[in-house]
Amino acid sequence: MKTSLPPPVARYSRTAQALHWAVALLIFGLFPLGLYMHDLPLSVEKIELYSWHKWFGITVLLLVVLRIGWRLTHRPPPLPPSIPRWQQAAAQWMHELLYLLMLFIPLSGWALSSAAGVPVVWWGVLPLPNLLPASQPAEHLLVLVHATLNYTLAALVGLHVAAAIKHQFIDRDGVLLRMLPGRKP
Amino acid sequence: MRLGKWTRWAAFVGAVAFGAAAHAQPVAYTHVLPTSSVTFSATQMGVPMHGRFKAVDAQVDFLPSDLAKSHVSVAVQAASIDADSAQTNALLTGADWLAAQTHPQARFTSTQFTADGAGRYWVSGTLTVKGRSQPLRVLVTTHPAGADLAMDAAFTLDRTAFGLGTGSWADTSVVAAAIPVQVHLVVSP
Repeated sequence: MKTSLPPPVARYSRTAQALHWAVALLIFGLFPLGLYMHDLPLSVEKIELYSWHKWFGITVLLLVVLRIGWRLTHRPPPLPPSIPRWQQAAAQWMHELLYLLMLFIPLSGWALSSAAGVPVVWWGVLPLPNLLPASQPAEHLLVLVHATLNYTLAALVGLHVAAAIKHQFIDRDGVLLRMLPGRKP
Repeated sequence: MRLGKWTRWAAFVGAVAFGAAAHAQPVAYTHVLPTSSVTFSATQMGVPMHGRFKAVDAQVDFLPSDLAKSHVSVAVQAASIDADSAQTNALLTGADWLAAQTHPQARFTSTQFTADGAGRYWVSGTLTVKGRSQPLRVLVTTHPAGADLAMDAAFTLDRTAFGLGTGSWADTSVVAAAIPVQVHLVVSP
């Protein structure tokens, strides 16, 4: 009996996949951590959680800069032709927005830390320059900016995941497989 | 009237002698000016956080020409700590840190001045924080500021030696044990 193999899928490169999933994992950790730590009373736990949030956030920034560099120099695999043009355009827009948010969320967090008068010392070892001088009005504004960008990202990530699930289980067009490890096409 | 040559010489010598005498008059710096300050920084997870004491109360008898009679005592009001946020100040005046209620003052009292080159002095004494006393020897550098004198000392306080940061705060990987302290006194005769 002949087993029916799925059609060969053009996948993202290993590097693109590794960067995608590393950043995804960090975002899924950092978002709830940010929500949780914000209202804690001043404590050892709060200082530790804030530090980790900043350290991993700066790590995201670094990975996202690498991702953008990789994406600009490597053509992503084409989408299946079965996908309507408007959906292909929507996917393009969505990905560009996600990149922008992944870039500006850590930057806004870094700026927020500077405005609060707490320099970021990456992993407790590498002091990063302050993006702006300490100032309370700037701090209050950046809290709002950082939170708004994050809720926007959460909504877009929700759509991104929903679209991946729809392509996998309803359309069954192999779009999700492009971002999963497998045989080279 | 034209003064004679010798009169002018006499006036010149007299002026120089008077000036020298005025200069040789031993200076005693005894007034502490309000621009004096005590600042510190605590390192949290590698991040230096700065603070100061708003109420600094110092008594100084500093005679550069008679160190044996020189004496300095600097006290800060624990409750006057200012580490940027009300929440941090409340924590630092609480029982885990300075315990301002039971130990309202931290104080350094000198026992000995020793000269160490121009404008430099080693000052030995006792530092008392949170009711615990430790010997302390600091290098004081002095700089004239007009008729006043700035006296600066920097030392590193080991918070574990004074019970600063108890309970969960005892973890020196979160708040480092070493707390650099800067004392800046401005004194006038």
